Amino acid sequence: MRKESGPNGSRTSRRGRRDWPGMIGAILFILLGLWVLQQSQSMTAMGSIFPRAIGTAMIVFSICLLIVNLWPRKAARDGAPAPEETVPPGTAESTPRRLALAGILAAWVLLLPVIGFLVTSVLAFLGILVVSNYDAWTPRRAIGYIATAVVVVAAFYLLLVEVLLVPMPAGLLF
Amino acid sequence: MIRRTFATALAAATMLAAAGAAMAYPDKPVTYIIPFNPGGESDITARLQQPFFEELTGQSLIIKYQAGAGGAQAWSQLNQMSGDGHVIMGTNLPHIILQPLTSNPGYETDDLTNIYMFHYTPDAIIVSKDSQFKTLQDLIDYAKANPGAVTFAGSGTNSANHLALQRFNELAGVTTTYIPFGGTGPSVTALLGGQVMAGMGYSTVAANHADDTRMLAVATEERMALFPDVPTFKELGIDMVSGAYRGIAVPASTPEDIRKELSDIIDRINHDPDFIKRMEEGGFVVTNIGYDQIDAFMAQKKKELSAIAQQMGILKQ
Amino acid sequence: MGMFDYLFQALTPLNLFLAVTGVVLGTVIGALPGLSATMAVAVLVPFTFAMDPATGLIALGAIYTGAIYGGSFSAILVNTPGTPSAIATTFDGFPMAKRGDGNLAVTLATLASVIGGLVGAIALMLLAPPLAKVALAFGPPEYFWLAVFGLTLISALSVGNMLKGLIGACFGLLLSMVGVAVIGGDIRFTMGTQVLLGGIDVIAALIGLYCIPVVIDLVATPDPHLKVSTERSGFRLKEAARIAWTSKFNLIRSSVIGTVVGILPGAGGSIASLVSYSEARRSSRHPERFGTGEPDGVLATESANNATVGGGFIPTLVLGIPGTPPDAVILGALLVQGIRTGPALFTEGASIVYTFIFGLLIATLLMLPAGLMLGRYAYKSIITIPKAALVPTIALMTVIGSYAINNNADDVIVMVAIGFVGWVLNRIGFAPSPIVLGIVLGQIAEQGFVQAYLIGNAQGGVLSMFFGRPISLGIVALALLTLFYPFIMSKWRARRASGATATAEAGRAE
Repeated sequence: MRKESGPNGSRTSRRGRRDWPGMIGAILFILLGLWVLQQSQSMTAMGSIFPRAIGTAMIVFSICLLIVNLWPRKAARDGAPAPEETVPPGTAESTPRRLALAGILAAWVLLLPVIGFLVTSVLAFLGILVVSNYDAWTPRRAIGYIATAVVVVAAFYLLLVEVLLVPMPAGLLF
Repeated sequence: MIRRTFATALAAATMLAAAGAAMAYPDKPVTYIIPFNPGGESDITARLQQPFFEELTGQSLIIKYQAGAGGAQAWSQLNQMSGDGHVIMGTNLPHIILQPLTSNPGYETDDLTNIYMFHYTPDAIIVSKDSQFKTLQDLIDYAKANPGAVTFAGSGTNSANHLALQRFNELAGVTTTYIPFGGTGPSVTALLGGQVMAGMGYSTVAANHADDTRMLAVATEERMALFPDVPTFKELGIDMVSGAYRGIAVPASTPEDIRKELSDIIDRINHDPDFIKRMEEGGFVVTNIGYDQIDAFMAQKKKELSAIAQQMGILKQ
Repeated sequence: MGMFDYLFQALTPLNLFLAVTGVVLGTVIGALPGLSATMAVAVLVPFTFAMDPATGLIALGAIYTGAIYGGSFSAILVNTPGTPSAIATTFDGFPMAKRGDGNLAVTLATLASVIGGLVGAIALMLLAPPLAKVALAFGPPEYFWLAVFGLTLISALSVGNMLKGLIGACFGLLLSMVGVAVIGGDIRFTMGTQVLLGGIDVIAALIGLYCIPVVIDLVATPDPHLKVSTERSGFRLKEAARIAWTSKFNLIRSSVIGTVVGILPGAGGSIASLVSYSEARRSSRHPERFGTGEPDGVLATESANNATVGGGFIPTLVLGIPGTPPDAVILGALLVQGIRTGPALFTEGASIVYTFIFGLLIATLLMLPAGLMLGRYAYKSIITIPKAALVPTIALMTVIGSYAINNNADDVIVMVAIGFVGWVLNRIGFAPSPIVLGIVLGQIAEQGFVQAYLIGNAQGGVLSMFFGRPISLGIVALALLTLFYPFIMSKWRARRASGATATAEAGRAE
């Protein structure tokens, strides 16, 4: 099963192991904070107050996170993994599908203004459909899904254009 | 007699044909894009125009919103839209002049093809009903005695309100502090709540909050009909006639005759007494700057605004 | 009596029809991620010009409250808030759905929304003029501290991961600064791109941070999206009513919080639901259950956000200052109709206002049957639709939703980009909620701070500006309490665990 979502965050490593992904994140955030501070050099006095304050805070917190994680482990502390949240072994998670989905999403949004809403969306819809389908492929199912794709996309399109009066991006095709 | 009937019929037919050709635009619904969020002044005036437009042209006027970056989001995309005259966009001065001068909003002032400036909301200094300032002179005296102490709420930085205050400071010879807020709403809240001592806004604010506010002066040529007791800056010795102008623009690819036609339609709406009445009740001042006068108007405004902007040091390097 | 006349006027067939239609339409629009309450209201406004003012207001109010309620559907069933005010509903709503209690969660949300809406509307009816003064008393320092308080909620929400929560919040705050600064006018962090010039829209970020990771993870396994519990199907209305009755204090408190926050111009349902969630958790006997599917959590958030509807109308109608973004649209509609807002509206225009309030009350009550029907339908479809169709539909809604905010394709790109970032961050332990909180509160915090500084500077005392005002101090106290409460509680619990005495036990019971 997937990790927990919700306010307490996601998976953390088992007790006793260092939280390497978190630490890499902390380092990235430190770099981000430094970039923010550098950018704020060229801002007006008023406009730079907040970026500087928050950038600094981010760097401080990230350093704390690193320290806490690198400290020899005793009792559980802030930033330390909560013991009960382990990653339960379950159904294997498929990374190729995830990447495929990410790729389709990226292509979709980038091509949307270029080719137009209806065409890109129907294609993307079908693409995602294929990626998320775990059942066997039968001709009936294939036709059913293609029909679904066209109908659903068209329905939303009409809802938006006719009822909600939202101008959809016009591209080369519709 | 037959000849006469025939001649009349021919004349009638020609007239009909001519009328038909003239009313060939618009021949389908027109989309009116507002570069701000619904509920603002641009929206309200557009909605006031809507029924008149629909009656004149027989086509519906569909108002859509495309807010972002103080209007720049929409203005930078105007010329990519269809130029058949069925897409029009609201424009705002000084925004469309100031934004390209002070930053890189994605368009140049001249990129926008304005065809009409149909009203403006004059700048006004407003205080709350229980303020210590009963007249503008009170405020000026206080400000002279306490430089920098008088706080003015306004909408945005380097915006119409901000520049208006700057001009006022200079013309009246005082130093006041400008406190920018995220829009007219928040600045009015601050004014009514006593968080600031005064507000640099528009006459529309005074119109909408007549019970709780007092307008000390308004930047028009003559006193406004809605506010007969409020002096103009001019009569108090401060030569300030300014405000935020709002107009309509079309994509650059729109043909000349359609631009003129659209300008005429807006002009006719602007002369409708019922429209004028409703605009004035809201605190708006109708202006009839049509397509042929636009260029001169824009040139003059550019000069004025560049001067102030340069003074404030906000021109981009 | 005057009041009964207004009630009867609200019960005319036309008004009733509009109330029902408005609520249903609003719920549907609110349930679709990305289509917000503001949009729903804006769509209806042109139609109201042909109606008389009271009728028009009823229609707008109905669609508004329906949309706020509808946001809970997708929050519970798909872990994606349909509107920003439903963010906090995902905390407990989605875990409930995952373990098979989705229908219960939806019913709870319905009950809570109705109660919250009623409280807000009643406040509007009875207490509008005095409450409006409260709105005015909040100035820049108060807003700043309020935002700080909101950010301290992160510490309360990220127990065990506080540092990551704080870093996430900082990241969110930075994201809120992208674009043109209100104070200073600088263009910040856009890296020269046109796309980012308009800043990162809250809703685009919301959709991205919540929906995209959900979608990415849905394709990863063939497991069903939600667990279906077959023994307990149907509305589970009795069960929900029982739970609601046990939590009546929670409901009332959350509704009051929602009403008050709604009164403050600029603060909306998202802040209201977060504050009431935090309070509910603090005063609960089982705070550790919050976040794992605790019904009280859903009750708290949904009653608070619907209470902001009534609360938000108070400054809108009394002062002419919109309490929430949909109120700004409604205000515009009123102005076009020539209705002047202000205290006079409640005396001379009494027939309009009170008819409207009665209509709002009726619409809120109608949410119960409408919501149960729609909720059941939504629940059924989410469960029965095969993943292969569900996932692309959700993806489609995210694209449409983020586009429809500003009719701008750039928002869609931002949404997906943030979504990817959010997925990665979630994997390494940085939850989406603090980030979203940061984005929502960033503008409020920054503007409040800089404005307060400028005013204080001009009037001679920056420190007294920040620390010398009663309301500010009250908020600071609340913030400190929220910040340190978890520590105090864990210390207390630790002390109990190591040899508790009966007195400590009694002392802790509420």
